[in-house]
Amino acid sequence: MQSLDEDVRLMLAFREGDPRAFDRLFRRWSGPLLRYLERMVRDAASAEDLVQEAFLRVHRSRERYSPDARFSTWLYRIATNLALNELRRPRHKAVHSSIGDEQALPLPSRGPAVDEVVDARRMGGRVEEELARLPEKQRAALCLAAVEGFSYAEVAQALDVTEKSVKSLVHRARSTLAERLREHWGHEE
Amino acid sequence: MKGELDMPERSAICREIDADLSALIDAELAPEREAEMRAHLDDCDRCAQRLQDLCNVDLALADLAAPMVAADLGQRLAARIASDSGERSVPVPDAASPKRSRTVTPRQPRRSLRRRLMPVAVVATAVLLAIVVANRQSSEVDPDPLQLARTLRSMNPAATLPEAATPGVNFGSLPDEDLAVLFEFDTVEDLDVIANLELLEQFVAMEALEG
Ligand SMILES: [Zn+2]
Repeated sequence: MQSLDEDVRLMLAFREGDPRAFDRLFRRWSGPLLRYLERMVRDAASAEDLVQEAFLRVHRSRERYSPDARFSTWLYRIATNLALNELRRPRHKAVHSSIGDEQALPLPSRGPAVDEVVDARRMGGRVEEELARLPEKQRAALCLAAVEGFSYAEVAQALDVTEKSVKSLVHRARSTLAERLREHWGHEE
Repeated sequence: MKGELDMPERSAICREIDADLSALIDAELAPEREAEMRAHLDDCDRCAQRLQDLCNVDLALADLAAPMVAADLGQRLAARIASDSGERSVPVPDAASPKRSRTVTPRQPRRSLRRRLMPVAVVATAVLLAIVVANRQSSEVDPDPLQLARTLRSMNPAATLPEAATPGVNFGSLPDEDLAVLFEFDTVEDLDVIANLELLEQFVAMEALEG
């Protein structure tokens, strides 16, 4: 895939001392990384901080980058470790319980109709809340696989677990979310 | 519901199928296993329903608004790198337009709780709506949930080149020259407005389609 080569090329250029390559990597990856970190830590300010922290570490440890790892896998591995550390801080615990109860909206079990798709936007808070209730590693695995489009092998590298664990983490996360969202949306036979 | 689903050996097969459903959605199965799964899913309402439920999770995730990167995040990072390493002339997004001589005062980060839509979310919604609208017109056919989930997944910036995947305003992918233009927008709210306008256009187009 073209993007792999491009990231690797940029990272190698940065390692060789081209600062604009770093700038480019930042611009390519700060958006997706911010999205991932916000889902992980559920706090916009902390997530922004962690994006900076992750890139700071990329900057510091450029010498240690080896092109056999995808840049994104490396970056997300750094970011995941930072996020897990952040979640272990005591002040973070409070953030998770501050979401109000939203009204359940009906969504048919097969193929949402247009009106409900529009309504589904309002369900965003509920989805995020349920995502936040998942165990950290399940949440990370699901976000990386289903949202960021990582292969299970890449998720395994980012989370430092086996591919088999990734398969199970992703499936448990998706199943739990499916059940909880089904409860909220209601379903008819 | 099919009566044979209650037979124990059938349930055992369904359990095995179930364990592989997420891997099916994520395109992680060997071709033979995927074919086997698809054959079972054609035949088993219960497993097909489970697949639909799991795919709905992906649709819900794709539809979540994504945060917009603050325009000054790069500058704040640059400041941190500078103080970290003592280096001068650290790469920052704004350094891309050296001809502009205005002084950059780092903005206070906004802490608005309002979610900001990124073009990716807009595209995901548009694809979803297009498929749903098409599906309404031929009311008998269900959309293929697997296809839909995989399409949405493949549109994410981490999976493809951001430049190719995200049309419209995308801070992360503008060529250097255009960055100066982007900085003419003074606040992230301006970008927010643009993203929301795009979303509105999608809805208007959809309503026109519906007649
Ligand atoms: Zn079955």
